[in-house]
Amino acid sequence: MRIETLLQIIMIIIALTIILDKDNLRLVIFSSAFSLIAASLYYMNKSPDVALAEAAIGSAIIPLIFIIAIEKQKQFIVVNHLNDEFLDRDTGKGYKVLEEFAKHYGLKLSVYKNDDGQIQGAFRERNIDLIVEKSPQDNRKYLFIGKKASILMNKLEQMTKDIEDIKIIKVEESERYD
Amino acid sequence: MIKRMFAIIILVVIMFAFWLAYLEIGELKNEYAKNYYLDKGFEETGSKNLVTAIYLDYRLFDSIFEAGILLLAVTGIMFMSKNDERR
Amino acid sequence: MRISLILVCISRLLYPFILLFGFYIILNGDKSPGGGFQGGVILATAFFITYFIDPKKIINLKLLVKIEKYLFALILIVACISYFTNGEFFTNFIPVDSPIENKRIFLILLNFFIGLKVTTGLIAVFSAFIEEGR
Repeated sequence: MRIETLLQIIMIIIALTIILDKDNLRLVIFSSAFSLIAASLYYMNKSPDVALAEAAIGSAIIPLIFIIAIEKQKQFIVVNHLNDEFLDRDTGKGYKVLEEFAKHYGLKLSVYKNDDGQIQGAFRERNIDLIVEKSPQDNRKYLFIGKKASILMNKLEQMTKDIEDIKIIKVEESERYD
Repeated sequence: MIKRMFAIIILVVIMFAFWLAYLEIGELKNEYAKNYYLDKGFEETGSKNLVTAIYLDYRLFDSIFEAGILLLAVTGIMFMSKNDERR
Repeated sequence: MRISLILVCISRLLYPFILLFGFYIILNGDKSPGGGFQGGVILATAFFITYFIDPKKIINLKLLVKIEKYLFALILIVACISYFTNGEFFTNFIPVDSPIENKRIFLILLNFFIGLKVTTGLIAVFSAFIEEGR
């Protein structure tokens, strides 16, 4: 068997693994290996120019950019506007829900206490994912306010569907929630 | 179920089209440009690497606007990231 | 972000060699495989390594984009000189009947400018990604 055939078979297996795998970080490493094999195949087919570009771009720059993007998505920032113990660590009911949610998607949960100076335009200024408040009409319900464009909000809505005193509100990116 | 069947039918059609194209590769062979570059490329441009001879001399017009596309992409990314009113 | 000491040491060791390799590929683009784009990408990779050495580094993005614009204008000017010497746009500015060795000047010049332009562009994109939300 020629070595090119072997490399092509390995390439197909790696491509299938990339499609079927769920872990983001491992997937980036696999795509880097895919580019490296593609570069060696280009070299064997007598086009070293393309092999140089493929090796530099496909296995160095694109994985770096992907890894940075994944690293920036790993935090889930919540701002707490409540006065009772709904979001207290270890005892609150809402904290348990959010912790379960964050654990399920591999995120790092961080809850900040409110301070009124920073509420204005909070979504744009500090990259906040979720704001928790008490509903003004119904005193027993809690409002979870988040961005409309985020996919995580849809998943959070599905997860808290059967909990009664939580209501989810999605806001547009540009409009401000006061 | 109907969606999946539809996808499979589309895949089969695309594979058939590729197979037809593969059968016709031998008939479409045209070696005029290749022979011209191999014969006169070194004398006309002074480059031993024929790829460089093509993209820096025969097709310089295309290369310049390829560089322009990179400039456009960079300025677009700068605009997107600075438009955030962070400071 | 914590970075391992071994990674920092190896990065410091590799940095000058990758720079050298990038410039070699750019300047020999007319007689060996490679050229402006490939060498520029390798130079940009060499620059990314410095982020492992000093993660808190801040880069002046506006200056980089300005440099890239001027390099693009320079490439256009170099490509258009041939109108005054050969009477034709976008080709070699050295006359056709001059010796072959002289024609390489044009190729090396244009390869060098394209390489620098690709380097600055990729560094700007990557730094914008890193500094977003920091």
